[in-house]
Amino acid sequence: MTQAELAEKVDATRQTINAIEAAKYSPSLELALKIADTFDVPIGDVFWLEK
Amino acid sequence: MSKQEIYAWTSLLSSIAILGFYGITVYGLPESLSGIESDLTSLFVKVFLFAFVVELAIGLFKSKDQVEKDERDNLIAGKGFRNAYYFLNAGLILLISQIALGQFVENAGIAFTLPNIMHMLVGALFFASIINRATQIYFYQRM
Repeated sequence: MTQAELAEKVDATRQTINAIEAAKYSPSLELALKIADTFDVPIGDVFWLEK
Repeated sequence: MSKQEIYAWTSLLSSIAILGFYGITVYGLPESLSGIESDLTSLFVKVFLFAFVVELAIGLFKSKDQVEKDERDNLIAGKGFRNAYYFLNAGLILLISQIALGQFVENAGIAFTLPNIMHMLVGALFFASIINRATQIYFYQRM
């Protein structure tokens, strides 16, 4: 799936998806849940706290 | 570059152009620079027209599929407005305190006549707009 396709599915811009991938931007809980839902995986598999 | 980022750039350019044009029209340039006054005025008009055309083109050719604005754009816009608000507050407090001080101190330097105060307020508004857009561009590069 391309960044543009994911962006369209979760109602975000491609630049936001790119910033999330580059770890420059932390999404809101709502957007994080939408992304996890799109890939049909638990949110913890996509986002986690750096320790 | 997202649409909102392009809007930030065009708005920054047009604010600088309007402020420059306004400053030259109201106060003029020092005598040493009077030779380039017409060139500078023409440059400001061209920059404003360029920014206007770019914004118009983006508005006309917007795609229905793409999301125009999302939470990251709103967050960045908020940071820009916050900084502009701080600047405008500081500017207004400074202006009011200068006016109050001018009542007590003679020859304060600037004549605080009504037109002068209006020019300063207009200048402060455009400066605030420049700070708003510059902050947005900074955060678009950073996050």
